[in-house]
Amino acid sequence: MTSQRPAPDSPDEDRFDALLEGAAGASVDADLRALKNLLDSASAPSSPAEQTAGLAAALRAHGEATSRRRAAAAPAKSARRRWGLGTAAALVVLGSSATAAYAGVLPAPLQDLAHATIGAPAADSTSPSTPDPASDRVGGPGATPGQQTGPGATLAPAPETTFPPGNANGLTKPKNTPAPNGNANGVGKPKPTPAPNGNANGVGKPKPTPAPNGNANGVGKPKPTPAPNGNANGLTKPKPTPAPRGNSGGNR
Amino acid sequence: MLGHDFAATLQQASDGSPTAFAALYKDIHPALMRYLYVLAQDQADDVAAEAWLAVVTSLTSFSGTETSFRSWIFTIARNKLIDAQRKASRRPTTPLTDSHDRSVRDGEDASDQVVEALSTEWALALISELPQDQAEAVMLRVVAGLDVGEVAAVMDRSPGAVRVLTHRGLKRLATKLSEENSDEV
Repeated sequence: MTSQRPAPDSPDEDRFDALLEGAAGASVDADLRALKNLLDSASAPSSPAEQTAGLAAALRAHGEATSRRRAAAAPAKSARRRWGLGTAAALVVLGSSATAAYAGVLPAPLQDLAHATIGAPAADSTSPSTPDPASDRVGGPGATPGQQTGPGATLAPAPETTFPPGNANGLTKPKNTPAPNGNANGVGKPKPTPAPNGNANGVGKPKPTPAPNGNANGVGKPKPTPAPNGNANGLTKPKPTPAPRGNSGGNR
Repeated sequence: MLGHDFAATLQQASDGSPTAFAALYKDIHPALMRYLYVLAQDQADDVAAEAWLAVVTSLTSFSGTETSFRSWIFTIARNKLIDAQRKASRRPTTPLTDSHDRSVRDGEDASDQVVEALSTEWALALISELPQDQAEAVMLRVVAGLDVGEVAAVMDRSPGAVRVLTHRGLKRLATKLSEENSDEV
């Protein structure tokens, strides 16, 4: 005698599953009809008041959360912008430095560094800031021996105003005065005065200034810098400097 | 359910659109409130508010389908409810008002709506008499519209356990209803 025992609740489970899936429809059993009505009531469409209950507070929270997110994103964006500007500025500085290095206008130590690192011209061949002991200059630090002064000064020697032992250039057009040991051109109309060891042309009434193998002429405040073969130029009174072989002369 | 509009609505809400967020809210909030009302009448409003606060905070981190979005929100609400019940057990309070909404829908006969609202309230009250895990399983299946697997994920149970809980709850409801009918007769 065999009695097959049905699984407990299995018919109910199937009916419940059908009820939950909404497949029961009109064929729902009478004993489950009340249950179906109850579930339909529990899941009935909501009223607008149900839908909007607490909505204002939720919207406020949503707006605040959105603002916080945007505020949090702003510093990151600003940092990226700052980083970009800093990079651009650094590139400009590097580019300018490289250009200056290849033009040879950097100060000597920097020029040497550029020479060593990026192959720019060496400071020895380019630096205008190294004073030439054999010459005097009028003007700024960019002045070169025998050349015009100012930022446009070039490195090539002047073809007309080169004096081997020493030279001084005035603001007016210098006259080429051959002199064995040097020459000096002053402001105004100097008269070339041949001299065995040099010449001195000045404006006004210069006092004789002995200079070793050179002259005392010039414009502006002269620098009393003794030079072996150089000059001291100036419009004002130059200081007398004894010179063993120098010659002083003036236009009287 | 928003259907095909869900993805665009969610994206707009994540981008900060209040209109889109309101659409999501109106779609889900009623079912969420009924679920919370069945499980914790007194704390339903507070828990719902905390749940939505958590939702708006992490809305941009969600990606998925509409069903998974509902499942995500009900999971958040459930966790908030557990926290609230834990706090309430340490500090019992007395509810001051019945906050369940009995308002009526536009465009429908007010008496029908009142009857329906009352019947909804009656149905929810009956379900809330079930053991909490059975009531929760029934509400998530019937009101939230989640399938067995999603309910299992929300309740952190196996699908088989959810199926058993649901069946037991429905059977108990059926028994209760038949008892009420026999009493009326």
